[in-house]
Amino acid sequence: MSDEKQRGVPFDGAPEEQQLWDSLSQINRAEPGPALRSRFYDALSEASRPTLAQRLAARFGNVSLWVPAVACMVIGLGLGLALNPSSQGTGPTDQLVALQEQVSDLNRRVLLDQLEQASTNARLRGVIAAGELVADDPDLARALLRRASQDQSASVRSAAIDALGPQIASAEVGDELMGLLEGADSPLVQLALVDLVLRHGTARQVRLLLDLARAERLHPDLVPYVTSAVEPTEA
Amino acid sequence: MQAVSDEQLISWVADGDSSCLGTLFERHHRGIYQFCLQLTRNPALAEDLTQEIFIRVLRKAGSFRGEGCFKAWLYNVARNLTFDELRKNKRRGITVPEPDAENLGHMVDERSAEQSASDKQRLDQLETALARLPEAAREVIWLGRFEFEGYDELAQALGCKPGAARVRMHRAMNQLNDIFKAMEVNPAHV
Repeated sequence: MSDEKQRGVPFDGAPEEQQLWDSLSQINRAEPGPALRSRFYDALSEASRPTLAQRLAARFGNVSLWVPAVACMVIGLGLGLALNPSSQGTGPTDQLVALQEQVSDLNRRVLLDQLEQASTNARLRGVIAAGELVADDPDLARALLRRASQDQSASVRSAAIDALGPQIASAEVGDELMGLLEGADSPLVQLALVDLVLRHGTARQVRLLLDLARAERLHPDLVPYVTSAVEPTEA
Repeated sequence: MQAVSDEQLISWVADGDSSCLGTLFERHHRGIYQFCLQLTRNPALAEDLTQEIFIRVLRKAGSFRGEGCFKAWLYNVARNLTFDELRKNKRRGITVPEPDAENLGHMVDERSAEQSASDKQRLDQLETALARLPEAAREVIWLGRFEFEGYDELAQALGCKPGAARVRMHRAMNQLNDIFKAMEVNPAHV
């Protein structure tokens, strides 16, 4: 305990009280148990995870952006159908497919925009929503990769890594993520990368991870985690 | 020196970067635990409260408007939550344990072996006297002695005016002195 912390507010009481005031500084102060820290970080991670309502809001919540646009498209499509006799030939299924494509394109643009927002919260919501669509969309994958490598918030970086999921097996994403592994400054980010490699990495990536762990080029707390997860499989 | 102030960190937490709460936890969790332990005299409950307080901070981060210091705001959250818990326990008929040899043992077990027996006895007595104070008096002494250096911040933590904090401190020290003197007259009370 630092002296600075023991100084206290100025107290000017009777001599006996002053003596007690001075003696109080000698009281030993109990330390919390070692489990408190890990319990807190578990609770923090649980509390930081967006609820289903938040995820839905992230996906569909930017009403001011997409509802007017969809409404205009539906009206435009309706008018077009009514005024253009040549379109009578195309069936309703084709029109629905076209409409669906337009909506999903709009949704995708909103997501890409959300990933570049100034608010960390908005980027985090964008990352979570993008994770569900990234499999079929190289643009989203690139945007997530940019968040994973460059975002100023460790939470967004970790979430983006998590969202990329099986994409790590692709050459472009995989090489970039493996490059981040050694240089990650935050243990949380490094842990997200390690988990991703262990869950979705190729055999070559897992071997590379193990090499980094053995060479102690990962955060010290992660080395036993990696070796215990990989070595039994290797054996 | 801290590279990033507590106030900056809590503004980032409010902006959605919950990882910054980890830094605030590392800076303040010991003090918060010790404060909760002083009020509850129960190490397990003090740990639960410490965790709950920081999660409450995560949820309430947006309500910290940057007026005053973060630490005082944090201790205000801590005291509200701890007093709520103590009130709930009283309703359930759970009382704060009396300071006995076992409890004191937990609090003083790391005391230096070089301290003379009489010094040790005096400190034991002081701890017992402190534990016998009403909670409101105990909190003002603890926060004023160990956590804050000015009455403005102490008052912010206690949720009162600086003048009132000063008066409360003098009353609390007076009460502590009375209990301590009574114990010196009759050591059987220790």
